Amino acid sequence: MINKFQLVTLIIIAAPILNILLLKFFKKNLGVTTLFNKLIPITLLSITVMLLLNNVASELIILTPLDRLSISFDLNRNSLIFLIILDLFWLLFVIYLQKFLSLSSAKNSVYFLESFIYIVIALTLLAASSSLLSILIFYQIVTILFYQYSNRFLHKKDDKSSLYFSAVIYAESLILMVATIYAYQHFASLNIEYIGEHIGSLNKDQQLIFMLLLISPTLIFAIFPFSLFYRKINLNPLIIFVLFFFLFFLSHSYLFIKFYFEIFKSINISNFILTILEVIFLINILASSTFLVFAKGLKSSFFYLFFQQLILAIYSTILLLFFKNQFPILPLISFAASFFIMVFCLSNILLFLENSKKRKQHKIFGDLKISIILLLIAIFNIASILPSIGLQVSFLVISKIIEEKLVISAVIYAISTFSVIIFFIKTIFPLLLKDDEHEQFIQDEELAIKIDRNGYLIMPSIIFVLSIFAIPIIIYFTQ
Amino acid sequence: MPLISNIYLILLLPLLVAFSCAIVKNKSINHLLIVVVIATILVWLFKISPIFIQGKYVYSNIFAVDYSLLLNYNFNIVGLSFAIIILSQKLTSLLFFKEQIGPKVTNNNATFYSASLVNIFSILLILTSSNFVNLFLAIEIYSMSLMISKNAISNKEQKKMIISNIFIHNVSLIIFVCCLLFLYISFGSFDFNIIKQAISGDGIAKYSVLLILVLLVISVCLRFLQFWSCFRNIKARSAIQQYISFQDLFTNTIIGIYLLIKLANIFYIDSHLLQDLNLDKYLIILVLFSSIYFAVDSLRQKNLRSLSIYYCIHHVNLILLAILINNQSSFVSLFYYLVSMSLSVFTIYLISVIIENYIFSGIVNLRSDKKKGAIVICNVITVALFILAISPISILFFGNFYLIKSALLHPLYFLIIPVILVICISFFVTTLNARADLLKKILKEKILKKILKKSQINLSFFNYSFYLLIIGTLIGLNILFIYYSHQISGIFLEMSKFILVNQI
Repeated sequence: MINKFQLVTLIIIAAPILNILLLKFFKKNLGVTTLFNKLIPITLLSITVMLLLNNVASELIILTPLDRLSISFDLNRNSLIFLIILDLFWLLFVIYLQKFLSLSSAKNSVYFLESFIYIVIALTLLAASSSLLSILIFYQIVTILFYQYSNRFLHKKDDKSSLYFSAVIYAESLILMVATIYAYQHFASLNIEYIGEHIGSLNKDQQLIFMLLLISPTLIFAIFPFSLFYRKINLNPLIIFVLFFFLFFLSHSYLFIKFYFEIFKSINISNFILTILEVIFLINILASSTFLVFAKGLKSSFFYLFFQQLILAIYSTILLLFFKNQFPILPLISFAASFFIMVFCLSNILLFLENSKKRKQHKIFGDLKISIILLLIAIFNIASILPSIGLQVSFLVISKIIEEKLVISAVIYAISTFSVIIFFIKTIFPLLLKDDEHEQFIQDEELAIKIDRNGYLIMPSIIFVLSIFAIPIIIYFTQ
Repeated sequence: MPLISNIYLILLLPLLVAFSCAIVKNKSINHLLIVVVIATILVWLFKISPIFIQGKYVYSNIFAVDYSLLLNYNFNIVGLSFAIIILSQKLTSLLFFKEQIGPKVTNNNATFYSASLVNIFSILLILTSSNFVNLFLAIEIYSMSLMISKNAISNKEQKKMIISNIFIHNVSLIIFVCCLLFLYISFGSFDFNIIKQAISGDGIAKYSVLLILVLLVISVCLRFLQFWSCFRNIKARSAIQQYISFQDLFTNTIIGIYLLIKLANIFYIDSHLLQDLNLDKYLIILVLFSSIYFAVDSLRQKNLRSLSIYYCIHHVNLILLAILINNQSSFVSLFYYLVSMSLSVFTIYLISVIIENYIFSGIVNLRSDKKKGAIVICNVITVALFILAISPISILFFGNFYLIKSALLHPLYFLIIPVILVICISFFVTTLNARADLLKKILKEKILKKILKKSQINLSFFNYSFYLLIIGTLIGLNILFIYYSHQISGIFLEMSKFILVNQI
């Protein structure tokens, strides 16, 4: 029989699936769908917070295809924290999306929401899985979902690049399969907790091989210049957010953190490997910075900024983990928060530009003051000018760089900061200028007020702006 | 002896019914006869299989002469499982394509059906033969019967192709005859058991055995694994030609794999004679290159049916690896690959027939609901292929699991694991490529009309739902396989033990 905690696990796993079913069932009744679209994430959020406070869970085994090789779920501390973050993102995104789609009069709005919730399902299953086999399965499902949606949303004529991109991601999952079988051979079990306890039984070389195999998804994602595949795509910030940020960044970073903290925490890595990583990241950052500097237009430069900052955040995390820092995940949190704000502000701005009569001008500071100020805060957070989480991250990293005299890392930081400054001057600064030459249209003013003073469209980013400033203070007081 | 008499019945039943088929010239009666015969043999095979799963085998040498001819059989679990795979495929294709596969000329009915029954008889002989002369005769009967049955139903253009095939078959048979001569000179016998014992003993020249093995492998590959001719044949549009090309591909590949396993069992697995030469290093590199070549080559192909050939080639590569690694879990993976291959190739065949006959004929009216149905079928294809080839928990996954497990213990793991990765990625890319191409074809009506003129048969809605049912059963079979994988792995383990210890 299923016990109480297993039932709770089952509910957490099944809730997004229930949401999809309800969405299909009440397709025509808009009022009902909007209600449970918000209700289900709120309930999930409260359940996960309660579970985290009580800190109890037990394993739920679904299927055991071979000896000691099972598909199983378990909610430990790491996965609960991840689920809370996921549900928060989900709730805010649904709130934002509802208003945004009604203003932009999109045709396939239900489909977009549906695909988003499918992604949430895959990520929830990934977060709750406790054995390497279940992680492998849901990771491959993530790959297939990515192919399906990138084909649907990004490419309208050419689908080659997304196919090759998904093939690379599929290759990552195959390497994960090799790691799974390696673990099965050496530990005779695939439970992550068990592997973490018995990792000492391997010798040093075996530990290194096993670690490289398990962390390979994140490493390949950071090392491979994926942005080059996407040069002729529909660069809508919301779609980029859903596909790249939600599906890829979250799944990869979660797996990386989970494997590190639950299996390899006690392992020391040699300096030689760090130097190799430095060189690889330097090449990657150089490529993405070049594309960022020479990109034309708001959308495409934002896309390259995303990749550049993502690589930098992963690199900073690896650096902090290497030197056993207290807060190694801070760069990832900083990146996630600022990216979240930027996506929503940018899509506000683009919504205004698409529907107003000033289409080709970018001097819109007078119209969308709040959105542009929030966008500026996010960019300043990236450039670590504000007293926010970004400043703390760069303080932690730069102090380590100076302490250990890491020259290549210093170059990486310099390049990224420099390219962000160029990006600011080239694309963001024109937004701030006041438009005196042209007369104002009344319709435009109304539209600007509709977008800029709307709680649904502004509130999600304001919550993250507050969190940017709040996290350093919380860390200061808890220390 | 009930078991022995059962085996005689299994072997001789198709031959006996073939005579009656030659007399009766009614198509429907002949069709019924062939279906009943195959079904009976399958039931018998399932009935006697529990005895063989425990590792027993029946070996009979009726005429106790060393060059004895027919009915000198060795019946065991490996041959039995191969027979089940081939016969069940034949049964399903006969059941569901009744209208398509019959000859148009009524006089040829009797020839076609009796030749197909003789073909089944020869397949059973190949799978149970216990010496090389027997095998030679069985292969000869197989080729002849296949040629006659093809000849009965094909048109002028195809007859040219058949003649070119006959040439290759003859070359392979001549090589086989040479091998027979060499074998008799060096071992003094054709019996598999005696040859195997002689090789494991001392006093045999290494390189002469190697030469014989290479010649035999070349002969088998020429006759049974000739994928190059499949690429040419498989693009045919009419249903009969599709049926022939598919039978060529599927049955030949399965028998080729069986013969390769058999040769490995006799010459390679248990003997240190050839393993001391350390040939596996070079062979694994060869497999790696061939897998990379075909993976790159398959990127250009978008046709669904040529996809099935690539599936076959990739599976054969994986099976070769499993034979080369040569331990218990690698042979377990071999059987998983065999099941995966037969299921996926058969699914592709069914799907291609559905597309040719239903979708392209349905869009003539340009009705939107039919177009919707086409897109639904496209999604069904994706799901079926996804479950068979891409999905994380599929039969292929179990094969990969056991192969990687055995490869990690092998000193050449750094060459073996890339092969598996390359092949899996190739499965992924080619499947999605083919699906995208199919969607494009469905959305462009102009191309459809062109294809439509060439296709001849218009199927009713009943058949369409029937096809969906078949795909559903295939998917259900896959799920059942996963659910009972514990027990199935146990059976496969017994079979691999049998291959490693006994003569198959």
